[in-house]
Order: sequence, then C-alpha cells, then structure tokens
Amino acid sequence: MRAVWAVMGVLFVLSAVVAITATIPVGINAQEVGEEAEVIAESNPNMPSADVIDAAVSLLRLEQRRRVTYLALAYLFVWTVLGGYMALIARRQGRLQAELARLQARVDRSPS
Amino acid sequence: MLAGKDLALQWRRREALFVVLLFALLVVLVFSFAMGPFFVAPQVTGEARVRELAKLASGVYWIAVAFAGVIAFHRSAEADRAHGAIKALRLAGIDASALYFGKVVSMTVVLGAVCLAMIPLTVAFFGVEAFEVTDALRLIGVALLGVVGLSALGAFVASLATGGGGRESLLSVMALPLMIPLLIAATKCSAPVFASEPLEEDGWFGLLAAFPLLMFGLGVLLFEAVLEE
Amino acid sequence: MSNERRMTTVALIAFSLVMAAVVFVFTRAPIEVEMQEAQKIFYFHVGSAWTMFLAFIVTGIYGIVYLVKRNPRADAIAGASAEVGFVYGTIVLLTGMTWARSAWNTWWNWEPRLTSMLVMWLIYAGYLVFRSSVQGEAKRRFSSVYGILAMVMVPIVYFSIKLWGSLLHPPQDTVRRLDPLMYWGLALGCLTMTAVYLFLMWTRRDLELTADAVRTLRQRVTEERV
Repeated sequence: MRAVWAVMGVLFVLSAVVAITATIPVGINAQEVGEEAEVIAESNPNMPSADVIDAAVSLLRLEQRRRVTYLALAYLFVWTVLGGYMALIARRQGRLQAELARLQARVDRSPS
Repeated sequence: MLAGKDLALQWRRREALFVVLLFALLVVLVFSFAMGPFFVAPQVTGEARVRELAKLASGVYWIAVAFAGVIAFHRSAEADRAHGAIKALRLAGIDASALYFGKVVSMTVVLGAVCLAMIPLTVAFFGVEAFEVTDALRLIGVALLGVVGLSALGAFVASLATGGGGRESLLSVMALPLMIPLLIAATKCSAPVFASEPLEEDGWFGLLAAFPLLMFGLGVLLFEAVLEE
Repeated sequence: MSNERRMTTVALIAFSLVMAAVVFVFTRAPIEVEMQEAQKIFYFHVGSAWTMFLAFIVTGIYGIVYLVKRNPRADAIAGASAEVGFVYGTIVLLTGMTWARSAWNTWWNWEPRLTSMLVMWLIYAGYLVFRSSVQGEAKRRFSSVYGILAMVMVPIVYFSIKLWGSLLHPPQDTVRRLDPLMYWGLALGCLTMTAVYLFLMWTRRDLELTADAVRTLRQRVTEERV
C-alpha cells in the first residue's frame, strides 16, 4: 500500500507543478493594449501616446496578475485540501495497520 | 395509537415548558437589542418601515422558536431515555409510528405555546404597530404549520441524537441545518402577516404545508429503526 | 491481495486523470471573455460540486442498504462517502468563494447554489460529528437513518434556497455561453473528481473496517487479560 501512496503523491504533486509551469507564460496581446489605450487616450486627451501605451500595458498587467492570483489561490485550495486529506488517511491507515498487526500477534500468542 | 399519544402529551408538557418559554423570551429580547426597531434607519417611514420591521420581527420570531425548540426536543428525548419510557411503551406493544406521532404532538403543543406567547412580545419589541387580532390569528395559523414541521423534524433528530451522543450541542448541530428550508419558508410567510399585509408567498406556503407531511412519511418509515434496542 | 491491486488501479486511473485534466485546463481550454484566466477555476469547482452530490446520495443509499441488510460494509461505505463528500464540499466552498471574489469582488454574495452547498456542508458536518460520538451497532443504525434523512433533505434545501435567492440573483449570473471545448473540460473535470472520490472513498471505507477490526481485537485482548 505504501507504494501506491507514494506513486499517487508523486503524480499529484507533479500535476500541480505542470499546472504552475503551464500558467507562467502569460502575456497580454496587442489588441487588448490597443483597446485599453484608446480608452485611456479618450479620458486623457493631452497625454503623449507613449505614456498612453505604457499606462495601458501596466493596467492590463495588473488586472491579469489579479486574475492569475485568484486562479492560483483556487487551485491551491483544491490541492491542499485533497492532499491534506490524503495525507491524513494515509497516516491513519499506517497507524491502524500497525495496531492491527500488534493486536493480532498478541491474540496469536495467547493460549486460548 | 391514541394511548401512545396521550401518554406522551401528559408526560412532557410540564417539564420543558417554563424554561423553553423563558429562553424564547430572552432570544427575542437579545435580538431586539441587536437588531430591533432602531436598526431600521429613521428616514424609512410609513409602509416601508412597517415592512422592514416586519421582516426583522419575523426572522427573530422564528429564530427564537427554533432555538427554544432545540431545547425542548432535547429535554423530551433525554427524559425518554432517562426514565426508560420508550422501553416500557415498546414492551406494552405500542407501534413505533404511534410513539413518533405522540412525540410530535407533544412537541407541537409545547412549541405552539411558545409561538403564542412570543406573538405579543415580538409585536411589542419590534414596534409593528398596525398588528391586529386578525393578523394574530393568521400568524397563529402560519406558526402552527411551521411548528408541526419543526416538531416533526426535531422529535425525530432528537431521538437519534440522544440515542447516540446525548448533548444539546450535538442536537443543534444536527437539527438546525436541516431546519433551514423550513425556517426560510416560515419567515417568508410570517413577514407579510407581521406587516398586516396579505399573504402572497404561495411557493413558501406550499413548502410550509408539505414539510410536515414529508417528515411524517419519513418518520413512519424510519422511526422503527431508531427505536430498536 | 486483489483489493490492493484494485485500489492501485483505481489510484493510477484517478491520478492520471488529474494530470490529464490539469494539462487540458491549462493548455487547451480556451480563455473565456469575461473572467479570462480565473474562469478556469470552474472546471474543478463544478467537478467537485457534482461529486459532492454523488457522495451524499451514496451515503443515503448505503444507509438504506445497511438498514435492510445490516452489513457493516454498507455502513462503512456510507460513512466514508459522507466524509469524502464533506472534503469535496470544503473544496467547492473555497473555490466558489475565490470565484466570487475574482468575478464580483466579494468573498460571499449569497449566490443560491453556493449557499445551498454551504447548508449541505453543514448538514454533513452534523452527520460526521454524530458518527464520531457513537460507536458500534447503534452508530451504524443511527447514521443510516440520519444519512437517509439528510439525502432526502438535499433537494429540498437546494430548491428552497434557489427560490429564496432567485430575486437577488437572476439565473444568468453564473455560467453562460460555453465554448464546446469548455464542455469537454467540464466533463473531464467531473470525471476526474469522481475517480479521485472513488479512490478516497474506498480507502476510507477500508480504514473504517480496519478500525472496527482493531476495536474488536482490542476487546478480545482485554477480555482475555481478565
């Protein structure tokens, strides 16, 4: 049974790693920047266009970071709760098996 | 079946009533301090104010009844176990469902008394001024339906809880979440009555009426298993 | 033992599915317009919710099975399923709150479906507390009865809270236009969570049965000592 838990633990953690690495290459595309820049330019007619683009990019980056943070948080919850529960069961199982073996030996030894 | 009901009624009525009533009063009082008429902003006046106060009153009313009910159910089930009443009645050959009905009836009586007593208190503390006798009668009707449902659920779960762990806290943890749909329905139906308005909440009223029927059905099927010894 | 072989197979399937689901969600699933990256929460959120319902139904059904057949294995399944279902419920609530925060900037907005899951979570918390407070035959019998009651109440709770919340939350608030790939993702998510549930539930069931065996042996040992 130990082997099973080990394999699963590895797979589980591995999938978490995959998730993280797959999400890291996040980026903003040019179209979004263009749209955001238009909005900013409208409310700030005197801003030079380079600044407008900078503002647009940083705003989009900020929003994305927020979204990705929540995504990460949610998946963190899933992984910790499931993982924590599995660890709990695994530990209890180990202890109970040991106890069972101990008691069984006791009973086998006794004359009745 | 009648014999079972009678016995249950007689036994339980006096034991639980006073403490339960007192507790309900305290709940209403405490909530009045926290969420009473001063909770509604003074700018809100007239009909809107009455409606807001009625919603508060309705909620607090049913909270008081529910919590008082938990105490009543627990005491009743605990008394059963302690005095071995159940075993005696079972040996006398009384059907499990008759016992269940007996419990539900006696709990309904106790909670019904609480409901009745809480009506003037809630009306006074929450200042729902337009409340009249006709409204009181309507409220009694609604309350009775709700209380039968609560008792049906509570008596059942209390037998489980005392058969097992035995503490009141266990019963509240087990019974209260299950009571939530019923409490929502009861509050929704009571709020217009407190505001002296016509009752329109058909869906909720249906739930209120159907709930005890459902519980009875389940109770009759399952109580036998609960009482096994 | 063939049981171990079976568990290993289930475990392998379950956790391969987890890997597959994760790969799918993070590489192939399309980005939704409104919530973009955060929307990916919902694959596991919905998967967990569905599995939670399944778990609670299993608890109720095996409660009935126990009352009819009085086989301790049936009760062990009921209890295990409730516990795993409760864990999944925790996941549903946590992910649901994160979703709410990212979509509507609030941790809790009384959305009817999530609220009803909260009540269900509480009902089964009561079940688990009760189960841990009793032992032996009484525990099995009472838990079965309570499990059946809880199972019957689940639809009532769900629909009554939905009715209650329908004024504040018009149904379109949650999931809307779904890209076909998203449906696949959802299906995969549900399948994955169900497979993991099966593994966890069966493991927990075995744990319960082992605990019983330990208890009986312990009794025997103390009796023999006397």
